[in-house]
Amino acid sequence: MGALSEFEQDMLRELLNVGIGRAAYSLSRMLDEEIVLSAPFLKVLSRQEATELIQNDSDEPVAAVRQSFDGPFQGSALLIYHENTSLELVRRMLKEEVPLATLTELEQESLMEVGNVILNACLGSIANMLGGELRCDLPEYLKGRCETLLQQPAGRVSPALDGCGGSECILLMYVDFSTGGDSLKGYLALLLDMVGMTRLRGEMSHLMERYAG
Amino acid sequence: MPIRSILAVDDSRLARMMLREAVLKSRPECVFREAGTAEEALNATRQQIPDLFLIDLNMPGMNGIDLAMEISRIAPGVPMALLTANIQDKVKLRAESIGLIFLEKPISSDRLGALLAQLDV
Repeated sequence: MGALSEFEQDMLRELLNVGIGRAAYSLSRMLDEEIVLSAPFLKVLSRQEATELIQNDSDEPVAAVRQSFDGPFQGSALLIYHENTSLELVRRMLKEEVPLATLTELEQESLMEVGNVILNACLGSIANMLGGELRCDLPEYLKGRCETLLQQPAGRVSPALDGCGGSECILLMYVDFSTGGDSLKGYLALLLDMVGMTRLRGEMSHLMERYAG
Repeated sequence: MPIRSILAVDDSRLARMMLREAVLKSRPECVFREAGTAEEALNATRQQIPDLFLIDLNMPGMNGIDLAMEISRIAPGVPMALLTANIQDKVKLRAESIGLIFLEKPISSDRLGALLAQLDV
């Protein structure tokens, strides 16, 4: 499968950015303060490349929320934060000084909530703009080495569709979450197998034809 | 005076195509121009001032609100609408405080048609 064209990347960025905008609104309602969420870049990477970019020469574990989906195409979406960033995100959500032990206890629950909002907004935006429906599983919390997290199958484990192994690709975006002027950087990763990627490109092609007149 | 020309500013080509479709569906005779960056938008404005600006909020470099303030120096009094999926009250208030119309993204041709009708005076 060839690389995504510049226009295909533009389309994906726009689909995801609309979702990011909606997520910012939902999170601002939850936290009762202005949230600036931006996703300045999108890259299409192999698992290895995505791991290297996220890990960035660090062995620090990452925390992630993962949501599998199927519909016109299947895959999974992950919101990934380095462990320290994840704890800081929780601290800001709680808006008060709390002991590290308490932060750690609440980390999973809080990150699941933020992840649920951001992932659903992005998947919802993709589905709406492509005119289809993506059925999402419940979000799950994962923690560990980035490499291990990204090695999981792209979608629900289905031998018929998930047999593409190394051909799977990851659409990776930075997610910059800011409150009160400080920003916390995480990653939004869309894991798609070969079949999922081909179907997504087909859906985008229909969208392109519709607006190209 | 009816809105006869529009300059759409969005870094996404898809978003500009969707805007063009929405504009031309509700007003086929309208002249639709587009810019992919703030700089392109300022240059296009200096060349010809449209009757309405449609500006995306999140763009690399200068954001939509800052661009609108720059444009208002070149084209004072021309209506400008800010498009965003980020419909937070504070963003909306900031936009409205400098006279921008706030539009939720993605915009439908019905909503855009209603806006054009409202601005036709």
